[in-house]
Amino acid sequence: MTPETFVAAANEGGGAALDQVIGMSAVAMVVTVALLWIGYLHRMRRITWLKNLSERLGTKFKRPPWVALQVNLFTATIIAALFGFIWDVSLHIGNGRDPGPLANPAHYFILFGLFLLFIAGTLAMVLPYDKPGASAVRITRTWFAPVGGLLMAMCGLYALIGFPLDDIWHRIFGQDVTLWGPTHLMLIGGAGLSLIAVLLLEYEGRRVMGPDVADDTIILKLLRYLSFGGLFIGLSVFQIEYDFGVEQFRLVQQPMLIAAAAAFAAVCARLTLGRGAAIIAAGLAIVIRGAVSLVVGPVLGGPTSWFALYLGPALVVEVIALTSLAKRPMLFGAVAGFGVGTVGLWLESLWIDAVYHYPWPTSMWPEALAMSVPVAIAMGVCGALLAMVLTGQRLPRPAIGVTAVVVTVLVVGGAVANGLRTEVPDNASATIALTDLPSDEGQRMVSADVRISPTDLISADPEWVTILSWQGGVANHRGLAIDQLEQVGPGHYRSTQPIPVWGSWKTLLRVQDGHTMAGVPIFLPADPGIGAEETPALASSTRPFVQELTILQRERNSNHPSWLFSVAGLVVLFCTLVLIAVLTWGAGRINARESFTDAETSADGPKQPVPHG
Amino acid sequence: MTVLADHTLLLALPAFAPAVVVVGVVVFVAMRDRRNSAGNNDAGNNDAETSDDGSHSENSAPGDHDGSP
Repeated sequence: MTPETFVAAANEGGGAALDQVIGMSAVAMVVTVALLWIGYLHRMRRITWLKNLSERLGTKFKRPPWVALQVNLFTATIIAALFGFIWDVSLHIGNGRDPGPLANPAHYFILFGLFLLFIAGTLAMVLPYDKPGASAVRITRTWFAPVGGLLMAMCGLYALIGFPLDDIWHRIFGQDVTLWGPTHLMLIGGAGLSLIAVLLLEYEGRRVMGPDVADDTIILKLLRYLSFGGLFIGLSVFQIEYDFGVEQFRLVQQPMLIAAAAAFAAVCARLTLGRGAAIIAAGLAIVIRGAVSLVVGPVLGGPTSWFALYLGPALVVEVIALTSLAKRPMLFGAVAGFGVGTVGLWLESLWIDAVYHYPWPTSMWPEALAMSVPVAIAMGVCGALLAMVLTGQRLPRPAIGVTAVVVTVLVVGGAVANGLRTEVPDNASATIALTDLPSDEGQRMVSADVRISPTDLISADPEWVTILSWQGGVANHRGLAIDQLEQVGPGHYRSTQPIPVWGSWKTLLRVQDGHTMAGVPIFLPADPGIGAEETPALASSTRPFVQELTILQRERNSNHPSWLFSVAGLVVLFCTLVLIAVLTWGAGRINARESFTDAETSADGPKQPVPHG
Repeated sequence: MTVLADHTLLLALPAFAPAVVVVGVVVFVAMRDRRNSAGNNDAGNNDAETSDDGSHSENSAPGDHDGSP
């Protein structure tokens, strides 16, 4: 079954879907049998090629075979998944929803990437004949698996479980065309958090190699910095809607998300790899994200996207690390987190204001800081704890570490919940006058004059007053247009660029001002797939402000009891908490076994290689 | 063109079924070993503890506890 067959099969209607079922089932069966068979033959010593291959890589990369092969596989898989993910988001923004699960080529990269993530994890478990390090988990009496491999497989499994859950979700609640659907968060979160698993696996391998292993070649050093660059990217996956300028949530979430990722990754990189590591890792993340954005946007013709630079936060962490605080990791994590959540964010805002569609207005900062600072402090402490594991320093009592993780989950959860609070103003409406502009054959471009009632609905410094047009097809100006309206009087705005109101474009007026977040449809095409009627683009119309979700996510339905939504959300939340707990357990186990073995077997200081710098 | 907002659950199952099967087999192998070793005084539990140096010996017996992944 070739990709072409899948794509060709994926047209409308139900009949073609059967081809996809048969094709995917066949592939799934072959993969399952191949995995089990190779694993069985390897464990029974009937084949040697897997062992030889991994050992060759191990020699080359100065790591045990079960680390070298995995890190290579992992790098390939995670870059494939990242590319597929960004491309997929860009296609959905430009084209709208998919007719089927394999209807868009980006899905192959995601599926391939997530599945290979799982395979890389299980391979790390299957490969070693001898016990891979002191913290290895016993599977049978003669088979031990490295903790990092186990965690990587769990991350992959968590992400893959997202596929069927996503389908059930769509079936019950309608398709949620947003990145922040709970099941979508599983798909991307599993891949994002797997960076922690690979860091732990790599550390286990380094520890097994003993204190004499020197990361002396440039390639090896670069790879270690790259893994922390990956950590920056992995923790940034939740920001992608903001990166494209189509966020369906309040803008105040963005600085909080950036602070969270920056504090964790920069603190961990700096404490693990030494001076300069936070900046180098942020720089490598820019290279990778930049390359992906370049391919997806200018090369493949999708909507353009930006990404957080993290250089400001990384610089703050580096500066704070010049003090003696760096010798006390947890305190350093907290202080550096505070720095990231304040000065770091301000530095980052210079970049956001320069290139993003939605600069951060001054009026947003008090709430942004109130959300970001606690999150950054908590994430900084967690990053420091991970760095302690990765450098073989004894963690504080388990209760302290577990408390830190639990508090972090609660603080992040609280901040996100606050960010989700929105209000739709009562009795507010917009009178929109459209003037036709010269357009190509079959198209209709207009300019808009917008009068909002009441005129004082929007303050002097709102997050945004824009007209968003999207899903117009990537062939038409990438299928995305965002116009920041120009204010010409109290409650009176006008457009600054031609606005498409034809074909499959969905065009609406968007307002976000503090907790107020609402929209007014301007043009929505008829959509028989979901039984939606056209909202015509009239020369003059007065329509009330409504919740944006009802316009942006017309596919969602409300034909379900409200408790079902809560239960479904709790199922996804449960899976997520389990994954975080498992990662915490793994890091704790690696550290606990370390202290014991050092005390019992090592008289010549820590086995851990000294950090660079 | 009509684009359905819904598709059959069957399409998603192949995406994760192999992973679940593999996890199931590993759990099965581990459980079986634990059941077997419960009666055998658990002697094999520590026999790999000494080989933490990363070298790979060829002589460990391909025992029948050493199942598939």
